[in-house]
Amino acid sequence: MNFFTFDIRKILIVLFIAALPLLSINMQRNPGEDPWYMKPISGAASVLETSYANFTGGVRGTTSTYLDLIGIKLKNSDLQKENAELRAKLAALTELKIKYDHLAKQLDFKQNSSMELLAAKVIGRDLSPDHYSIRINRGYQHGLKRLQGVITVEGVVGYIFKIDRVSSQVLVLTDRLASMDAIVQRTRARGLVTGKNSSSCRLRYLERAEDVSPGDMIVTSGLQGYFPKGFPIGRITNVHKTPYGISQEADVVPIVSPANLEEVFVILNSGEEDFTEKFGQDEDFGPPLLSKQNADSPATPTSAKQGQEASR
Amino acid sequence: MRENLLLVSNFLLLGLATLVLATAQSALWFQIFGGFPAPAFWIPVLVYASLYRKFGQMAILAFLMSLTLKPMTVMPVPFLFFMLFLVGSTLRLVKQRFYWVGHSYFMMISGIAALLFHVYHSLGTLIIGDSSLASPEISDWLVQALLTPLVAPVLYEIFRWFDRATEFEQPSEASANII
Repeated sequence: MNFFTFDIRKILIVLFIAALPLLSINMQRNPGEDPWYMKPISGAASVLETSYANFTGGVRGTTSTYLDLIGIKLKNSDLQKENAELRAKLAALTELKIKYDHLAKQLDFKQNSSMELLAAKVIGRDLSPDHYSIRINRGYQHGLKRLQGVITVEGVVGYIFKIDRVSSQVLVLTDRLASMDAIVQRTRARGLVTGKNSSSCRLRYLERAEDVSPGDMIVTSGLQGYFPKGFPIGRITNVHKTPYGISQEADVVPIVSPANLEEVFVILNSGEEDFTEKFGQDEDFGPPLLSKQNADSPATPTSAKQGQEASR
Repeated sequence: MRENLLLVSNFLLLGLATLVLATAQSALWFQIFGGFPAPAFWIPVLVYASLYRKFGQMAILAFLMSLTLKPMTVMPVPFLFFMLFLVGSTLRLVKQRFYWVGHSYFMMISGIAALLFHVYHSLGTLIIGDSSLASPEISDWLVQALLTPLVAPVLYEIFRWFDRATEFEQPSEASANII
């Protein structure tokens, strides 16, 4: 083998291996900058890394969103449950407040009145939809008598029609079989209120010459003693005058709607109470004896005074 | 003697059913549904009496029913009895014209009876007394006539059970003649 015979491939390999450290040293000379031959690789790596990063980020994001959704769903379910509970509580409290206001109003009315009143609960209504009577949970055991007046804080309801031991039937003013003496508050014209249908009554046997007009308030006459004098019954909506005859008729809308009654007062003794002064002509319908704190409308001086006494 | 006792028991059971059903309509329904028109729970008793009792028995039951219903309404007993009797008689006439066995017939007739009662009552007020019905609650009538058939099948079975318990002989269809 000739000493000077060179294997060019071996020489090239040796040179390449020897050049590698030099190449590395050269690369470290400018660490912030890639040499020209590294740029494509770096670029490709960068693209790939970014892609991987985006991919893993996306997967992580989706996973966490999914996990969050599960949490949100559970939380939402809990919140909905809590919301329902709070709503139920709110409804119960609202109902309690309404009941409290109602009872406070009734108590105030009872305290301010010289009448002997007995509170009663409505427990039933007439079998026939064409008759308007209610049944209350008070009977002769509680001292009730026939024809005693039944009222609410707002106005007249009707009167006791039939009594049993622990309950009574009240004929509501709107029943066509009901009738009671009444006067027009403005002109003191006297007539007879009889029932007509579920929402209205008739004021009959009014003298033809009497001055009666729509909007007039009808109050109790207090004639029979079952009701106090001047207690509100309803308001005239229409006046009928036939071309002949000695009387005239008027349609009356009662203040108290029998459909929504829950509690009423039975007048055991009207105490000859007169609401004419307490329930002024200028005032709108409303509880005539309520003290100022509870009354929505401004009270007359008398009722306000009584209210102050009651609050004392 | 025993037969009479059973007959009286049967009538008393139907009377008791009238009382329970009428009070349920007057008070229970009112407490739950307020002013919404109630089904005429007691009407199926009258329907049953009209369809499956002799004419005289139906009249006695109608009278018993009018006494039972009186505490729940302001209608006078004679007027109430007259209305029930009229409705019962009409139902017997209807049965003569067309009849089939089963719940569906009982349901249909109960609805018709509920409506008939109000129509007769309305007409009755025009004839009797001076305070006629000014504006009948027709919507309430209709609702009642629609709701009453819904409770009729259950009541029908209860009445049949009463008959079995009191060994009441079921009248044949021919016995539905008005006279």
